[in-house]
Amino acid sequence: MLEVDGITKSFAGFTAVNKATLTVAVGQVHAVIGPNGAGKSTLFNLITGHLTADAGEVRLEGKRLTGLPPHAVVRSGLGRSFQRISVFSKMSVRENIQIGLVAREREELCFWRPLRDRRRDTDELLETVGLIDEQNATAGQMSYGKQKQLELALALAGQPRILLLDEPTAGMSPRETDECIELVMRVVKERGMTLLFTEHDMNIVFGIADRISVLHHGEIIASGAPEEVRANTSVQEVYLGRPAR
Amino acid sequence: MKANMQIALLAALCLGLALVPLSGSTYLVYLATQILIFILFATSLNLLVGYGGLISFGHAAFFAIGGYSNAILLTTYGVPVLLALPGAMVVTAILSAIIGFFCVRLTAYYFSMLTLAFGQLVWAVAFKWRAVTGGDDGFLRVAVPEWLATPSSFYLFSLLVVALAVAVLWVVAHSPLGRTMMAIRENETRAGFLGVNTRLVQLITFTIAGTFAGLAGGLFSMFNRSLFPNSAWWLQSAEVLIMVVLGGIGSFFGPMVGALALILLNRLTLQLTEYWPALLAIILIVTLFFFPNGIAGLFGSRPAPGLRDERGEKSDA
Amino acid sequence: MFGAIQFLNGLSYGLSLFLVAAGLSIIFGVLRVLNFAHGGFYMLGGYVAYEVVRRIGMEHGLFWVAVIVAGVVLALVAAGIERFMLRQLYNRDQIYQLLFTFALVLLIGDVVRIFWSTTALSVSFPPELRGAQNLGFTIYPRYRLFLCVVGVVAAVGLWLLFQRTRWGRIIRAATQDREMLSSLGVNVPMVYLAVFAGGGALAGISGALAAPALALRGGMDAEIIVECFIVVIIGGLGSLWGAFIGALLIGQLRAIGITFVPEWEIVLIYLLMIVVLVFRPWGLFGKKQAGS
Repeated sequence: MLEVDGITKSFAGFTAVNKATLTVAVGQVHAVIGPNGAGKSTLFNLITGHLTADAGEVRLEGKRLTGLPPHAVVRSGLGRSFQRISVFSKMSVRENIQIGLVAREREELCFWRPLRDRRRDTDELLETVGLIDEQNATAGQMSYGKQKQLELALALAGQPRILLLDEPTAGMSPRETDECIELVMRVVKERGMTLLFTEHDMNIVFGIADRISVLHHGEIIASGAPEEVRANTSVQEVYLGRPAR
Repeated sequence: MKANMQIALLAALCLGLALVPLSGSTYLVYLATQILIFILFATSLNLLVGYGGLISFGHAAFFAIGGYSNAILLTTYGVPVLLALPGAMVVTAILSAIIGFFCVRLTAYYFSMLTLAFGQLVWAVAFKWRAVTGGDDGFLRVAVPEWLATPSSFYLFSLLVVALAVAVLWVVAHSPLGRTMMAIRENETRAGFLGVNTRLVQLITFTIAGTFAGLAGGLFSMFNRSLFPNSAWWLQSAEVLIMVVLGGIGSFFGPMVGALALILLNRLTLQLTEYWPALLAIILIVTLFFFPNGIAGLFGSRPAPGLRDERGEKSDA
Repeated sequence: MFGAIQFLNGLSYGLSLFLVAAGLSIIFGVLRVLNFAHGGFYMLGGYVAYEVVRRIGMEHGLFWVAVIVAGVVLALVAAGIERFMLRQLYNRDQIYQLLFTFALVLLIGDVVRIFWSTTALSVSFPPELRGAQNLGFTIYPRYRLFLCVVGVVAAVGLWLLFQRTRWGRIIRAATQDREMLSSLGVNVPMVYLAVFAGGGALAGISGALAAPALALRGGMDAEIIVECFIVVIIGGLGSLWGAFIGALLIGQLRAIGITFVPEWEIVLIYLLMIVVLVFRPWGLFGKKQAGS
């Protein structure tokens, strides 16, 4: 479904991502792992159009994504959440969701009539991520875990076919982590979505991933089923020891 | 305030305003007309500043463009006013779209610098293009039509136009576009990652804001029966900006209060008009330091999302 | 006809413009404040110099006293503004700082008008630099040549300051990462104060030096700040090199404009700005910023 083909990006002489290639099949849960600084966030930014690649291509269901601005990438059916919380912090949770819905229905240019409430759709999304009780809370004042849930809701608002999650459990306690992963997997399975995510926690990775790609110094050094990757000697050298935590 | 109460209050206000000519005081009618025109001007700027978080230091450019266009259409070409005003709006819309295209492409600082630069450019053109605008001598004897010749009739006409225009601006501010502008101001990257074409949204808002400033300018050219290049000078941009800040950036109706307050203050300190720029500056500084949410904020109006009191990095990836 | 004289005019104008724009760019780079008041500082510098000359005359060497006084006064004024007012706004949204410096330029402009009225004032050329210099290929006013020299010396001096001295390194570091700097034990508030005061002094000195060549009049603060903005838009905010190239470009374009389309030279400058914005929106030497 998503093909990353030889993507390369350099910053002032430093090659952050070097001819990275990976394929994500429809409905797959695909993890990208690698030590810190391997270029995982950069790779995501390249896929979603936040950064422009120097070379290579990204295709979504055959359609070329490279060179498109982020909003066009999202419109093609891709949803993303961020490693650092990126929500509309001074707005309420409800208002946050509403922006997502406005964008989904391509209404952001409509200036000739007042905003419709879209109560039902908003409620549905809030229920899905479990924030229905916090709907009127100010987004930036909620706990970290709840803001992450809002992040997920925003990523889902556009009804994407593929979801990109950048370290979704970063900074979470073990219990929050379990809840988060359970939520994500439930949503992904229910909606038949494809999932591409990065993670540090190997328990999670080996727990849910159908396929794993390993990034090291900006290059994909291995890509395959979890057992294959676990057994891969170069990966073991570089990175895998015992599962983290 | 409950919505119904708000509407009732507004209706009462409009009714009250409509009765002003009955007071018999020409001075009052003139004052009220001027206030109405600047209410429209300030409300149009608020769309950019309050909802979009984009500080334009050159909004007077569109005020002037609308004013001169209207004056020229009325006087030089004898176009009836009901066509001239919309015509002036069209001209202003086109120019604000062009100028806006360059201004919204970049981050906040460049936007502010560019709006000032373009504002001064418009001033320079108005100043030097003597053949069309009359240059420094001004465009005089604007051909105000017969039926608008008396202060009262012009006042009621302006009341109608401004009320309609403000109603339209209200819809725009509360439309999906308006809400999206607030979201962009709050977290531009996130908005982009929801699929929003942020540049286009900002451009449309800029154009709408400019167009209605042009309408205000058109009314002003008839009110004043003349127009001078200083209507595009940055002092005029400063005035309307201060009206918005003083009234309260976070609220829709705040700038109206700001316009009222500033014009009244201007009248009251007539002997001190020599020092008007300094006075404006002091008002702005005092507002910034002591009541940043403006007059509306003193009445409990919630600041628009994105207007932070604490510096924080905009949360983006 | 565009010849050596027009070129030198453009050069002297560009180099004095650089002096002002450099301060603006550096203040932005370190404090992240777009200092509208810079135009006011420039104007105030010119008027202070005028006042000093009015009182002590222009006998041999006294003009330089006026220039120095202008620099000192502006440094103090700028320092006071930063220490007691601007500093309070650092924790707030950018909007506040922007509006504040805007209010300042209005205020300074009116203060100048109150003290010195709106009639155009002039300062005569200092006696040491009157008359014209024979350069071989042309004859050119000494004072303008002097301005060129000052501009070049300032450019080199600033470059040396930033590249070779400890202060310069600190300032450059401040443009990159302020939090890091304070955790390294640097007195960041002091750096801010020094940079703002220094920038103000630079603008004031530039205004004082420009006084003999231009008339002092109302609106010169608007003119200079718009030109400075165009310089940094073209050159890129925060880049000293960008300010230098930008200012020189503007200077030459202005000279060309005055020669071929007088009265409308300003349009040429705006055209250049628009062209740069279309192809390199972040300026020739600015940093590309995605989104915010």
